[in-house]
Amino acid sequence: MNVKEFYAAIGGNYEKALQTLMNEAFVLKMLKKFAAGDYYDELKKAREDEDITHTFAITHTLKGVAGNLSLTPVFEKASAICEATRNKKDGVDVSKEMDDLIETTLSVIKKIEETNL
Amino acid sequence: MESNKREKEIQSRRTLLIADDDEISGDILASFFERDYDILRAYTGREALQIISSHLDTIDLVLLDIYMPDLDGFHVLKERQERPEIKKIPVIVMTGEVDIEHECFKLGVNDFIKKPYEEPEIIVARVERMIELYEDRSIIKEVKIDHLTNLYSFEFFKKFCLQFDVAYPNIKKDMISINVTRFRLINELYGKEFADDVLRNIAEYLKGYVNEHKGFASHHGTGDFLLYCPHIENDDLFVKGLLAHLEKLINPSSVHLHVGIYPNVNPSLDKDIAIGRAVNLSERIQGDSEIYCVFDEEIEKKSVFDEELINGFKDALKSHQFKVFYQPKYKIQGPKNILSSAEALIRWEHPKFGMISPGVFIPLFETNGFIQALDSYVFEEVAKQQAKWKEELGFYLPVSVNVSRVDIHNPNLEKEILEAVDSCGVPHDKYYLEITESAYSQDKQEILDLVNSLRGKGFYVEVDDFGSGYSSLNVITELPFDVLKIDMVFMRKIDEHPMNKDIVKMILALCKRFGVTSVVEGVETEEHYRFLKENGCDVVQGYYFSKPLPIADFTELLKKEMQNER
Repeated sequence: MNVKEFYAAIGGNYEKALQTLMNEAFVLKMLKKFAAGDYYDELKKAREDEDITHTFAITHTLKGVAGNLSLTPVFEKASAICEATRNKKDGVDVSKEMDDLIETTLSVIKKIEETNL
Repeated sequence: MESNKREKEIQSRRTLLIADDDEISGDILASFFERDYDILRAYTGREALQIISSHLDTIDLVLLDIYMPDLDGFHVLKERQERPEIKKIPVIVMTGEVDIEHECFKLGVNDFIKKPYEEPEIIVARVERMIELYEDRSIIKEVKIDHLTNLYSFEFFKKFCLQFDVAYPNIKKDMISINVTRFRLINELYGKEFADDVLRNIAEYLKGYVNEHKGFASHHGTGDFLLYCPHIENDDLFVKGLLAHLEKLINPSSVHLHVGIYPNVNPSLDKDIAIGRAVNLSERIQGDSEIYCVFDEEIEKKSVFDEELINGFKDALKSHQFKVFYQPKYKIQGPKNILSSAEALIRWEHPKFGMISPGVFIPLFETNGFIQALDSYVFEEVAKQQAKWKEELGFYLPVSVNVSRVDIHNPNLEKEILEAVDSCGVPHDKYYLEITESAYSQDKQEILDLVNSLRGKGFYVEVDDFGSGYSSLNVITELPFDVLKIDMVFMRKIDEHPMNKDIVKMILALCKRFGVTSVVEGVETEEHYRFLKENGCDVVQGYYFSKPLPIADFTELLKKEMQNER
């Protein structure tokens, strides 16, 4: 799978990623860094601990990086949770949304691992 | 404009700090700038503050993320509000949330970049504009260009030196000071227009030079220029080029330059110190035959040593580290040689360097003005000692003290001498004042007035070092004095050049003729002594009789001589 095919497969925005990062090699390099990063582990930890502060922090980070890499589904799901947990509203239950985001993130990471130039 | 081009070149290597806890977002942002900027990275607010504090002079703008672990972006902004040195660095916040913008503005944020990043070109343009805006703001506060020469002003020059270091960290650089000597005189002799032409001409050469070799030049005082540029391999060629350029405009004999070159400036050295060293080197050049002086290790050691002496001077005076030594003078024309007087000579018993001879510190203190305080101290110490001897031995021993040529300009000199002598009750005719002959050739009228006045009050005046410089026999006819001291150089060279013997004979004869006492110093051998005795010299001083002695030893000698006389 090449980079363009990867974006098509996950429903991301290839053109936008290319516009921001300016060349495909750099896009791929950043995607690989994303896959190798601890975003997924942190998400899972926040979910398991049901820690709202942590949930906000990791989804906020994820929103930023997924936004810049135009990983649209991750960006959208992370943004929704981030908004919901802003100001550390206790009693907010985002467990379902978190499960969904974790699954989406994992599948994106797996696809990145299959991607080459 | 050449200078604009250069500024642009420097601008292209500005420094940004990207503070973002997410590495990928930071990498992406850095990728927009890394071609034209040096990038520093921080991953927490605390780290950001540390880096800003240690790079205050290099960071041109901070790109700040708000949500970061260990002190967030708000903390950084709050601290920036309280610290003016950080406040002068613009901050742009990267954010995906509109609702924090209000708070950010309140905290002095200059602009925002929307997350996710969209058009890199626009982001780069905004950053560039913000930096320029800030620079213009700080530039307006300072005079950037010297209008006469179109070179940078001193303040601006220093700024650019720092930026130059950042832009070219791996090349060696020199700091050069160029000084038009006696510039005021040029102004007076040839007029302001000509003097300005000289400055413009030098500036033109320096501009041409930096355009070709990179670097910066500044005109920072009437006749003073500074140059910071990549290391010059051939200093001689550089200086010759400058002189050749100058010669096109003017008769080379009317303008003289002193150039101090401080090579391979360590970038971590404060620029003021580097400039100081270059200026110091140019000031070290004496006369017009030498034009430039390049820093070397020996000079450096000497200047560190000098600095220590200067720093220690005031304490040394207070704690009596300066000791007056006495060297006896003997009358040699009688049947017996008689210890008739002494010369007071200063030594410095330095706590760190041990005994320092006056040849080391007097020239130094003559240039910085300490000599007046030191001489004043000697005036007092000598008078006190004379009074002590009077008490102990029953008589006032005549002692001569040295009056530095710098003292001649001290309007209080006479008062100081009178106070020292009168407060101890020493008769004026037992207090001899040695004034160096070379002072007379420089400040004739002042010396004449001083000598007349002092002699009028009963002091003896001795002309010191006669024959050491460009002696003129005029001194003997024009200056009223009591004693002529013939310099030791004649005695030292008496064996090398037989003619020196004739010169000494002639001077001794002149003294006799004019009725003044002749003293020869530097008498070291029996042969010297015999020669002088045969030729009618009145008084001798030198190692043949005794070296300069500390008070206790000299007192012993005095007592011994008194017994011998009996």
